[in-house]
Amino acid sequence: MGAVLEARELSKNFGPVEALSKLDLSVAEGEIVCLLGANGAGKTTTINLFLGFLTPSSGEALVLGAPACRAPRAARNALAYVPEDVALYPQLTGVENFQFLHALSGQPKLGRTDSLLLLQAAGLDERAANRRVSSYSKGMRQKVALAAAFARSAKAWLLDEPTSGLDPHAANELSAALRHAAASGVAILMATHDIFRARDLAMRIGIMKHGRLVQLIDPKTLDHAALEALYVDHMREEKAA
Amino acid sequence: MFATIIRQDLRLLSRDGLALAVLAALLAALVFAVMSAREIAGAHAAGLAQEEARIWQRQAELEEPVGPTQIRRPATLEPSPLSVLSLGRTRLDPAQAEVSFFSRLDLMFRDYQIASPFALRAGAFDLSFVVIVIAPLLMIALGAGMVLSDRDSARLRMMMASPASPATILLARSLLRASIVVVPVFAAAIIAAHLSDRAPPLADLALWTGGALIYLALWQGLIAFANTLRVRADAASVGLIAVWAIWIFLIPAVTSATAAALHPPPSRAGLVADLRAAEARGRESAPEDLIRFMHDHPELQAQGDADIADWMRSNAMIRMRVEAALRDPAQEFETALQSQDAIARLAEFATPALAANRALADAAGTGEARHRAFRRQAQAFKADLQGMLTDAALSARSLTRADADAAARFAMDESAVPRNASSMWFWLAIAALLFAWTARRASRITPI
Amino acid sequence: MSAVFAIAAADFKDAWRDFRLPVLAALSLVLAFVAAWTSVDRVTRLEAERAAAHAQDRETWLGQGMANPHTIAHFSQVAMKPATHLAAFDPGVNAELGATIWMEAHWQNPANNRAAEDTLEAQRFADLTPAWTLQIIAPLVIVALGFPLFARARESGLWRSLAASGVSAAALLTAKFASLLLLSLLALFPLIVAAFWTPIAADAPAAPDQTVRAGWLIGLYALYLLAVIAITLAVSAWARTARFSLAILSGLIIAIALIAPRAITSAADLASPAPAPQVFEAGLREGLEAGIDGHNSADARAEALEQRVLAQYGVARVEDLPVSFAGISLQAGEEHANTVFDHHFSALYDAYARQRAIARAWSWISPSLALSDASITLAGADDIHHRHFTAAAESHRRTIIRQLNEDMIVNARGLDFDYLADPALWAAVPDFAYAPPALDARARAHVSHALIVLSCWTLLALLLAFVGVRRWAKA
Repeated sequence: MGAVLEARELSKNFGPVEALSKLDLSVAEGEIVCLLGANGAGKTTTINLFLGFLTPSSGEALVLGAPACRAPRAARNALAYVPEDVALYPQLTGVENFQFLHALSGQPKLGRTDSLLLLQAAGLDERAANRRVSSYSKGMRQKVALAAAFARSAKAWLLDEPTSGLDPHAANELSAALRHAAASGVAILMATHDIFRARDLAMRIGIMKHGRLVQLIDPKTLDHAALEALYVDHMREEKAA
Repeated sequence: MFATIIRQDLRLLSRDGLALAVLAALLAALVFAVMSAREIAGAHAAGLAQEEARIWQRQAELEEPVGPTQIRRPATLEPSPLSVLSLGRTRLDPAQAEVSFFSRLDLMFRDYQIASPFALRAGAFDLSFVVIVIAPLLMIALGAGMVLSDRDSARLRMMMASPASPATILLARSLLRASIVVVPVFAAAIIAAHLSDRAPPLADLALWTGGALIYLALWQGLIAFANTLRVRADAASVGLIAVWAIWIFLIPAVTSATAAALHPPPSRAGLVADLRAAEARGRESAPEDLIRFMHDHPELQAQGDADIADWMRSNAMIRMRVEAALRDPAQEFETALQSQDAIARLAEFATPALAANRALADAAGTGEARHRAFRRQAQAFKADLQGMLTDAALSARSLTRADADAAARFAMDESAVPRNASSMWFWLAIAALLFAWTARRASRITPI
Repeated sequence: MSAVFAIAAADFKDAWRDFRLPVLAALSLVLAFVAAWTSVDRVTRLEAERAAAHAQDRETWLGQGMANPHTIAHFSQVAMKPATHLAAFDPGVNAELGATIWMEAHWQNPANNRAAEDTLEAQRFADLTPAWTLQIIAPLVIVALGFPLFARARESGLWRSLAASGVSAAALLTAKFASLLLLSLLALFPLIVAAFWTPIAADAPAAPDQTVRAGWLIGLYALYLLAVIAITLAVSAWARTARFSLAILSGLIIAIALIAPRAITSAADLASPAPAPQVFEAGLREGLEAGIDGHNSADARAEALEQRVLAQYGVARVEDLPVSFAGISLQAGEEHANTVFDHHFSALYDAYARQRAIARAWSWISPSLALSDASITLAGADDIHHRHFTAAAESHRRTIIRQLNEDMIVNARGLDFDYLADPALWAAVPDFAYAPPALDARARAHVSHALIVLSCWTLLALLLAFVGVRRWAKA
């Protein structure tokens, strides 16, 4: 399987602050990779670099082999993005927001029925889909974003803290959706604080600290307790430092 | 993509209380502006027509022999059909004079100064006012956050994580939101122009709408540009409103105060006193002046009643003396007002509000230039008519009806009205540069 | 009390650090300087020119040699309206009303020479006077300083800390009011100084009750600014975000201070229009034609007058009259004309007054209009004072003409229009001397209306602010 997302010695500085330092990482088709780390570890910066929102200070962020910063539209064509807090237009309904996001992706127009089906597949029933987003919970807004991601047939998904603020049921629904997407060949890169969710979902987990990828592990080789202990050790070293 | 963004934005706006309030406010302002200006322009035109009719009626009733002093002509600045769009100086400057042998330059235009002082001070609520003052505010309300609010609320992340170009989003929204204001304004202008009693000259209507379009396009360019800056939507709103206040109020206020202080016109009270002194001196010296005059013009021996001839000649002597005394002060007035105007013209390059105000009034035929040209032409007509009547008047010779009918009639030479729209071209160039710069910046918008 | 000071100090630092206060104060300084300097210069110069012109015209009048009184009646005198020193603060509608009235025989002229005709179009956008800066610029400054006072505290979560610290809603409102008052005084200090200095520095006559007028002006403008402060706090207290607060306040101030006054004044003009000049003049002419010409001896009415006078003096012919019939005829014509003029000019000024009454009634929705309406009255620059001036000029005109006609009646027997009066007659005719009046009942009504409107706005806004603050404190 080829790499859909590839970071080659990817670095980003904000003035004197090294937000990301020489990241080497790849995510293949059908693979789920989770980035674990504290706030400011470089997870969101990595995602922003793949989206072309930021220009690397050095190295490359490649999407389907092409640098995202030089060909941002081509990169975004292949990507779907689910931010931590999905912001939608509160005056529009779920289905209207979905249709707008879908139209922006440049994909062929979807009718109302198909749109509702996709939202339903993402876990949002028809009644909810026809309500204004101002009444939505965080999980419901996330489902709109997931439905849009599904509809785009994107090659890769980028998710930033998607489980933050979700109740366990909604988080489980999200996990199921991600597994389903990976099973259909989507490469998934997810930044998270949720160690246990990461272990359940990811094929590889990258632990990030101070902008560096300090360890890349196969979660199947560790149980929950061991993974937690490993993560905490890394974080403790950070505090001691 | 473009159409999609416009459709979605239209849907958004249709559910946005602020946008609906903006549209309602605009429509109310347009309806009121058209009604109000139509009423005022109509009353003004009716008054001028009534006076013209009275003068011509009296001329029609003349019986032979016709005394030269009985011949009167109206000099009227024809009301422009487009005055309903911009009232300009309609109720401020004189638009009519009854010209006769007795007309005196300083008293040619009198007794017209009774328009409501409150209405004059507040200013007309016409389409010009809506375009120049109100429309930009409404455009700011609609457009200040058209992309910035998406950035503030992080929606821009979701939108830009797609292949859609931020420039396309900005352009589509700009076009739609500007149209919400521009289309009703133009519709109101065209409707108002066609409601006028006379067919509007299409060239002038095109100039008026073109000037309004340049002005509103400039504002939309500025608003679009503000949306490419890395600021919060409320900061952009504050900045745009500050620009509005500076362009609409501060620069014009400082300009007029400075111009009046640097180039104050001569004292009107002093002029009145000087002319009255000249008139009194003229009355005193009329007998000597008359002797000198008759010595120079022996051909004007009295052919009719000698007393009447003497009286007319005295009258003419006094008039000439007063008008001679008026020459220098009139020139000083003209110089002072031209100097003030030069400052105002410079200021038009600092604020598009002044440029648009002049351009719209000039296109509507109610600007300073046309009124000034009318006064000059009316004064020249007076000189012509009096020249024609002088021989007969000073020799008390009677005229026939044919002579009376053949006497000159005033016709305004509109081609002599100067139009200088250089400041509007300047602002058109600024608008174009603004759009170009915005397009360049828009392609680099990031949600971070 | 310490919480109040602490909150006020924090707001001051906030406004200073983000440059709002220094920038607004600098703007205020520039505008104050230009407004004060140009206003003082304008009024002082105009008043000096008027006084010089009046003296010159009196000299011209007295310097006339022997002449027929009726010729001199046509020449007559010119009344020149003085500006008061308070008009330097607020010129009102003086520029839109004429400043000179030719008091000639047979005709009552409206005031001519409107200063507005000699001004640029730029001035019709905004007239930079101390009154204008306080009515228009000051509210915008207050909004710029005050819009985030409550809203930002809510957005940032500081509100919760304040509520948790036990500060009551009333204390919080008091603190914010004090903050905004202090910030406003600092930013507007140059404008306030200019407002005080301008009328003092302007060399122009004062009304007899100038202290009372000045006191009312100070009180009303202070109340107006307090109302704006209260409105700013009320909106900030209710708005969810600082951005929303700013949007509402900007829209509100622009609507009530700029757009509503123009819209209301235009509507009042439509509802009670002044006649077009040609229509007005036609009305005067029609009325006069029903009277006695005075020049045209063929006039049937003159014939009737002649019969009356002959009977009065007990003679059979005009030539036998011990007086000049021409003089009698002229005066009779004037007396008829005066009734016509009184009727039409009253209707004209009543139309102005009705417009103002309509605008005043609607000024409940625009405190700026209510203040402006009272301000021009207190400054002596409104239609009430103009009507007083024109009435005085008209009364003097009638005195001049009657005096000249009476001289002709007595002395022109047998000569009529060939009679030449001695120049001592011109000296016997009094000079036009005008003093601005004290505030009358109508003027006081405008002032008290403004006081009520501004007080209601202030109290209502404070109440809304208090309810808003309490609501958020409870939430």
